[in-house]
Amino acid sequence: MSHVSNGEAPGVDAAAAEDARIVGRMAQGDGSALAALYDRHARLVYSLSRRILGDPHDAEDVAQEVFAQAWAQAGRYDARRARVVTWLLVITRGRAIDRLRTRRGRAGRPPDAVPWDIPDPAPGQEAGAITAEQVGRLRSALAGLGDAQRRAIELAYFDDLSQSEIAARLQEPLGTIKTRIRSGLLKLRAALEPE
Amino acid sequence: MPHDELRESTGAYALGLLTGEERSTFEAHLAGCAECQAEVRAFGRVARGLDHAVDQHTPTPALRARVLGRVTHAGSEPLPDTRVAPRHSFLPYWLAAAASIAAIAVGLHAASLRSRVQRLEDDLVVARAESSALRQDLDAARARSAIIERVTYVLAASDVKRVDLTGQEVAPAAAGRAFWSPSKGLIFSADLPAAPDNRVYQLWVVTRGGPVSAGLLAPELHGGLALVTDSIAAAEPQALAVTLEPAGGVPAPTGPMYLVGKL
Repeated sequence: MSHVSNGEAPGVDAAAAEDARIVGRMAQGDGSALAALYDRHARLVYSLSRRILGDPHDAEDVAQEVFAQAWAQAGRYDARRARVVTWLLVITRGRAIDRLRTRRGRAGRPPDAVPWDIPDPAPGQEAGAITAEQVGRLRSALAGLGDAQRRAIELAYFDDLSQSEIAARLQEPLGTIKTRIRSGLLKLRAALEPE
Repeated sequence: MPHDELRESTGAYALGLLTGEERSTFEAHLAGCAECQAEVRAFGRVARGLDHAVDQHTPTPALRARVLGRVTHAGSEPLPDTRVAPRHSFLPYWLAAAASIAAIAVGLHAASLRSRVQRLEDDLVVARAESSALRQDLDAARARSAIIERVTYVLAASDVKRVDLTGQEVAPAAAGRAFWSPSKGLIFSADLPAAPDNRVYQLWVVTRGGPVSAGLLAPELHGGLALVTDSIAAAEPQALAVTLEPAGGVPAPTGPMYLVGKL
């Protein structure tokens, strides 16, 4: 799998390679591989689901659906497009948002929506995995954003509000919200990948 | 729209915030702009990072059991839950005695059936994982896996329906559950009083043209009675029923009816 190296610890890519092998075994119908995948990533999947949905039971339901989908579609997973963790989180995000929208009485996405709906920049271009250290820097950066910027980003990204809906909720002009989101994201980007 | 303006949207796009025309306009620009592509890629990593950065929680052990127990299902949807609604449909005379046919789950027995089906599914996971180790033990493993493969086959079928059967007057506490795929077969598990000597429970598919035998129930691994079978040729099926018959079964029902469930 070709990728841009970020000089990260070799252990991280070894984990990604192992994940890909596990999914390969799942595609062969190996139930113990599903158990391995679960034990490695259930916490991440569940936590994201819970952040979006709030309710732990709903979050577990979605997590179960995510692993069921991963099991059903293991044969379609393509290691050249993204890491397994990315794949799982994109599925998680899709299903959790769907459930959120159903709960709110809005149309969900079409049933067979491809899980790659978060724009895939370019095949083979996914850079190194997100490391624990990067997550720590991101959390600090989030905490360091002004309330206004952080709220706007969280409402957009985890609560599935459109920029217009955020503007209405916070009683700010749409342009202001757009600028806040962009400014906040620029700071987060800087924290994640120091130039 | 000029690049400088569109570039402002790279972050929103990467977070999945652009929709409709705004999105397609941006994507048209993105296709030909390396600078915007680089920004989108970078903001995409921020998005992935945000997914990782949420407060972490550990799910309950029950989730693990659910996930691994679902290994048999080919689809990403949970099994369809076909609740049986009362219908005014024609029933053969010999079912008329079962006056109120309603699919009401029978409390504790339904729960124990659920756990039996769950154990069947768990067995499947174990059997598949162990199958390579058990390659030496041919006869027993083959017989078991044939049944288990049929169970998978049926449970994973796109036309599978669940049918709950309720106890009739002779055994009001009895209960049964079937998963039936007209194309792939039927699996059935029931909680029934022990059959007397020389008698056996028989499962029927009630059709417009009369009852068709699905087979005889046999004791299953975890107690209770079960039947696993190929697809049954039954035109216009309306209900499933279990009667108590002489050992060996009969071509048409003669004995008392213990369970009925409408399709």
